Amino acid sequence: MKRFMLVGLSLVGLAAPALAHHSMAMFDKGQAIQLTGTVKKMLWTNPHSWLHIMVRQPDGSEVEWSLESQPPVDLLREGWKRNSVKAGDKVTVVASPLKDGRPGGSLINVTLPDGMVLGRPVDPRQITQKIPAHASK
Amino acid sequence: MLKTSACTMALALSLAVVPKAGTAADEASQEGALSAEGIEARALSVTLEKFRPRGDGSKQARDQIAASLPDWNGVWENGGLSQRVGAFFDNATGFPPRASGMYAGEREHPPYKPEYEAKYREHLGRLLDGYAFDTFNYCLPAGMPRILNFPMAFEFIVTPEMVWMISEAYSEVRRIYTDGRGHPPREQIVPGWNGHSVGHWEGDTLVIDTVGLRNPGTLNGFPDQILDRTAAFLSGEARFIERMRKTGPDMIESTLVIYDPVTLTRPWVVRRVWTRMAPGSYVTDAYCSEARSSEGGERNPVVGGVSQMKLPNDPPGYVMKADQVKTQPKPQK
Repeated sequence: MKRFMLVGLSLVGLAAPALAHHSMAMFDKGQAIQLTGTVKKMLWTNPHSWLHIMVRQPDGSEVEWSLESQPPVDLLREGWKRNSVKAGDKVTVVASPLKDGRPGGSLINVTLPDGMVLGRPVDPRQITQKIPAHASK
Repeated sequence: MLKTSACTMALALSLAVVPKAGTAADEASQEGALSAEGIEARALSVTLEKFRPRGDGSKQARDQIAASLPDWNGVWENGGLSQRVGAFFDNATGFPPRASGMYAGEREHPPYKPEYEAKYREHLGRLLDGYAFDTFNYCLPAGMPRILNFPMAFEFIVTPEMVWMISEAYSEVRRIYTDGRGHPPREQIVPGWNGHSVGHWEGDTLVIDTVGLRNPGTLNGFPDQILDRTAAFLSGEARFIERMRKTGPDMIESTLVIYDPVTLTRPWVVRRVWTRMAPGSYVTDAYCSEARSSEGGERNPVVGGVSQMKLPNDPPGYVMKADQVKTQPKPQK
């Protein structure tokens, strides 16, 4: 049995998924959509944290997307800080969208303004849709 | 001590539901290579023989016992960096291998009797149809044995009289009495989510015997005490014999043997591992029911048996239906 010297919180990357207090059936796990927008707010709450971002539509209007994430303690142990995302930040997120088409999904990762990626990295070739369509990366 | 004979009688009564142990336990004497039958025989033999109060009640005796206990201090994470833990209760039989166990179509393989295998498949089918009947969706506790599979942090408080297992999730507490007592007679046990656990130390190994699960009621027609997100389940007659010990400075391993004469054809052996987290890690209190107090009210209610995700700009009265969240089946072994 290997010995593990755990140094620093970053090594406590999740070996297990965090509690999901509902079925994941509502998300289309076969899709990985990429959204680019501005953070409206981040709610740190159990059992799910929530990231709300405003995404511009082709007609210029904005739609509020709600991305559900893990309990705060799991995010913090994955390297998030309470101020990692702030209202007004321009971010790109990757998520599994809701099957019913509403603007919501299960957060996979978020790219911060400084380029840091929090969450599970996704190969760009696995992105199935980009909103707005012209968003790069 | 007067309690000894009462303990033995209580044990004899409570053992009535446990299948007879095999007598050939010789080959099971090797650590780490125990067959299911060998574990069963060994576990039963020690629970019958070893329940005696320890020491004479003096402070010196207690201090001596305390000094002999292993160091389980710190904060522990379920699973470990070398063992990817899914949400399956039994990772060894989960399919697809090392899957998360959180998505419909993934299943494990308890040694179910045919009628209970059929029930399990019914559960899996309902999950595929988009229905959510897991007790977690209602913020109900995990209990035994599900508490052993919580993905969050744990603490183990070890004293001569008791061991507490405290889960970060919901702050659930599991109490294991190591003061020499046995179980109360069956008809006097207050059924609970965690049941009644008694244990004793064999050197550095904690041997635990748990009975007294609440007879599961039903939630939306399904047993409401289940093991994991695949909705595997046991009956209220389930009994658990565990052996827990450190296998290294930063790892605790538990070998769990589940006896359930109602649902299982044989004892079900499950191995679990905890890894010590970095120094300075601390346990938080993560409560499922916070969702009801967060901004916007309950974000994930269950409506019509289907988990919802409420969004700020939902049309009034909008509800997701089961057929909207049907999942394509994944290959099942």
